Amino acid sequence: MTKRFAQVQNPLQIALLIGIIIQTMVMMVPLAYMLSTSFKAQNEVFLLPIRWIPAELLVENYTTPLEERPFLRWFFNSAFVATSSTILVVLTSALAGYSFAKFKYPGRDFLFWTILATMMIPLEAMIVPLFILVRDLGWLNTYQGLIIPAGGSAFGIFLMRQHMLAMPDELIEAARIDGASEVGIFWRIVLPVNQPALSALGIFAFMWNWNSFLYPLLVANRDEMRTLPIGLASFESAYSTNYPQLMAVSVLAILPVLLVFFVLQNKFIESMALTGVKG
Amino acid sequence: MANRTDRLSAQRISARTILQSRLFTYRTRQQVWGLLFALPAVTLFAVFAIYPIIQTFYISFFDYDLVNTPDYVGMGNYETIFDSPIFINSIRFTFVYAFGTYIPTLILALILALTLNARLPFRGFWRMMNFIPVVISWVVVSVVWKLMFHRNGLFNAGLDSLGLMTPDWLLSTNYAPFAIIIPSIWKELGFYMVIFLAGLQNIPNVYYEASKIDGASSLQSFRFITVPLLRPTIALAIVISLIEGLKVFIPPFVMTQGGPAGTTRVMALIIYQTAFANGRFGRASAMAVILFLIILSITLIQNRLYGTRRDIY
Amino acid sequence: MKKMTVLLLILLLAFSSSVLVAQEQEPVTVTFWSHTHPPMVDLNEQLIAEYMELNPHVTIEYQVIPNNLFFETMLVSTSTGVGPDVMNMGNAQLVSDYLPRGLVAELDVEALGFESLDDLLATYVPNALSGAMVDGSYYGLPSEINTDMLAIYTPDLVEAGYPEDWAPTTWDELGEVAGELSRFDEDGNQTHRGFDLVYLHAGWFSNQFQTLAIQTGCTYYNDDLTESTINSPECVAAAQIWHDMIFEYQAANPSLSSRESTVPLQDYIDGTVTMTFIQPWGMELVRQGDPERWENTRLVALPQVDPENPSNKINAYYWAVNSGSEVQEEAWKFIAFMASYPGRWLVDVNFLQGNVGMDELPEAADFPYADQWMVGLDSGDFFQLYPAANETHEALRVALENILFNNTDIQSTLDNLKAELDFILQ
Repeated sequence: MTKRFAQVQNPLQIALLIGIIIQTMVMMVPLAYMLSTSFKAQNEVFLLPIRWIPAELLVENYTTPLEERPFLRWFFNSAFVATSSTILVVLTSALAGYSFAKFKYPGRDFLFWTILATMMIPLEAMIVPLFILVRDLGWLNTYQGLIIPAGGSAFGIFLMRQHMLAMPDELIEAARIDGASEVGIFWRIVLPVNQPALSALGIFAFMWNWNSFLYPLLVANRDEMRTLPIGLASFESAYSTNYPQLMAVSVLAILPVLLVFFVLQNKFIESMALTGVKG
Repeated sequence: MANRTDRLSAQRISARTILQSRLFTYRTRQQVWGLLFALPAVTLFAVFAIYPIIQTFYISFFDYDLVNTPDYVGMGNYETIFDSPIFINSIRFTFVYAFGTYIPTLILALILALTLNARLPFRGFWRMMNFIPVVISWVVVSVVWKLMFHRNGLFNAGLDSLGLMTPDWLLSTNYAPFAIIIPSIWKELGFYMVIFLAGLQNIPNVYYEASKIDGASSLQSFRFITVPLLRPTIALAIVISLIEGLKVFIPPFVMTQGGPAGTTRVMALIIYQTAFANGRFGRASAMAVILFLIILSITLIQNRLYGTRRDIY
Repeated sequence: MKKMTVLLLILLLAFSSSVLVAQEQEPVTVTFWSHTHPPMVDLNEQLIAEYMELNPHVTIEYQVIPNNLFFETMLVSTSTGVGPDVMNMGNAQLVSDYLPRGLVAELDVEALGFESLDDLLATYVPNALSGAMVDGSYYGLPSEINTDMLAIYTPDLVEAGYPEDWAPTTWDELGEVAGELSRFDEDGNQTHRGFDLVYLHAGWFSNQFQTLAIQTGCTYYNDDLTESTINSPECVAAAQIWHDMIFEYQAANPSLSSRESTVPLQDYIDGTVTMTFIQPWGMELVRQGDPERWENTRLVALPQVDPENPSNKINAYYWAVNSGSEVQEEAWKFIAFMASYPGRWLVDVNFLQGNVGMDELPEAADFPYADQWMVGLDSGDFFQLYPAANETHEALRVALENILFNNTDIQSTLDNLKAELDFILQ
């Protein structure tokens, strides 16, 4: 403790420290409010002055919504879909990134830049034909409809290509000379060597897919196929005036991601930082 | 006679051997494998991204309600939407949102990053805490802030204690846009702070030490070392953030449904409503094309302003 | 030989009848979606359970859709062929969105258990089915037919010195008295409203506006639907009534209303407003929400713009069958079952279904204000039928929000709205 504070030597640093403490506390206020409200009784919500600690901790606010709406099912859907598409994203991105970085063939750059260009197009702009396509495939309200179309990530491909470019060619050449198969090289050399980037991508993809909204909103309109964010939004409509329950449900909705975040935080944050750093 | 035997025995050789033999050069083998590896991703994109995008362009020239056969109208949809004050207004507001959110966000993020970079204790902790809003879904953020912006909610309670006025945020056409922008800043701040922090930490300390030896002041080293070396990162942040801002959907959808009186109707929302509430898919596609063109132009302009992509990639 | 023939015939008979029986028992699944109205959902579930018991080979899959996503979800799902077999839809949407797309099937009179269309029509009062009728073809059976009355919380009235049986005859009268019932705090902020409507989704804005519009003679479009007439003097007058409640009489105040609740009468139940519009199903909602509040509630006829010539707006929800459904006959049978308990709908949910002889039902005796509701039904009219219901309502809502929240000039706001609505007609 003392060692750390020994670093604080000049008044500027003290001022900055105080500043950052205040700023961080302010940032946490909405979350504290959410948690606090989730335990309140309905008539306590708008009492002034604000009571941060409710008179009584109403745990029913958490259990009642679980009984009334299929939250567990939604949670399972989100978990299953997010995990599956994360695996798909990491695999396809690694394969494609490897291909674009270490192989030469006609059309390679064209394919890469075309895929990259799709990042510029908002989902809303292509949601209509995408929806019709998914319907024509018979994939509405199915798990494959939620997982497969989300299985490719232009960002993921970009990221993996970036990292694989930095991989020494000799590694792969040596393996080839030794008679290893291409698939074997990919599986036993390329993947392990790029493991940090892969896990970063995995975290990113998982978070993005867990929070994804517009696409599941349209593709999964049956209650039992809905994912958690959609379920939350629909809950908001049905019980919108029961604020404590709404806040309780919101807390439940963010717990999984928060958990993953706290456990893997360094990887998380660094994976974000990777986007800003040159390869 | 001998040649014939050779050819016959060649046929019995396994495919793998063929691939490995000199019949297929190293280069060809490379190309085949390269294509094979890229195939899964390329297929996914071709089917679920490229095809819908082309379709969007195509449908935008028709009148289509999902049931009856599409009706060709040429540029009709485009004329219609540009005649519609609602659509024009949504373009305007989308820009207001994008700039209104991300200019403050980037400035604050830079300040925060600079602060954290100044060798403060527990830096990892501040970084982590500020990042939490980033991982929370937009839906939850919107739901919580909607409550905070309630007439009698936390936000007004805070303003009241400071003696400031307390509007009905979600009901007032003047203040509703802020009710969308403020939560967005809150959510995005941590993300750009981390990006800037990474950029700052990439600047080798040697430069600062050298400049100190040369007698440069903090301000000078900031101006001549930090800013230029951070430029690519800032440029990247501006491009990414602006595009994200133009694509916004969830906060207006959950918090205001585009209201009150349509003042927070962003383009993505109006595309959604035109397509899915009104059933006019052709018109919605035309709007989507316009949104895409806007984003494309911004990206191209940015590219021109901030140098070629090789800087960043 | 004869014995053999007889035996064979018997076997044949037994075989064919068992095949027939087997066919009848082939399992069938019928999907049914509705919006979220708690008492209705409860009775739906009960009737479904009973139907499935009586028809073991039928499974009814019931789904309740959240109100704020209801219209989009229904339209998109049905348009893309993944909608329910049985739907429960408002008359405006049914006629303007579903029919033009050919998404609903015409009544299957036989499956409904009647010998002819006329027999079916004879069991309903004329107005009941006309909301789902276009060019002589019928597309649904009514699940609820609604007119409006005024709900008054009597204690507030009495406290302000008015007689218990007070009822306004004109809108001005309502406004003035309601204004007196409003309460304000020391800073001049309103804390209680004497009268207000609800400010929920677009459908509600249109629904309530239509109640006023039908009295002033306002229509959204002209008769051939070639032009919008929303900026006519009649429509301005209708908007004026609502506007004045807020800005002239200070009876109403949108910022005090909860603008999101699923239960439209939540504000009335919570006691933040003394008087409001109410439809038959609203009675059960209030009773469930706060029985005491219901005890002290009185319903009276709405004020009229022209008391000599009263007009009432009717709107209805219909059970209809998806034209893409593969089990249409079974779907109609199920609907027939649901529609065969008007008494239960009356008493448990307070839904009026417009059957002939409603007033003679035993349950009618327990149905509050039965006479007034029936009168409203008989003398009322559906609002004009127009295309693109969702779009129209959304545009109307924006205009009304401007007028009611921002106090914009009514004529010019409606002029702008007219331009938008003309647009929709293109």
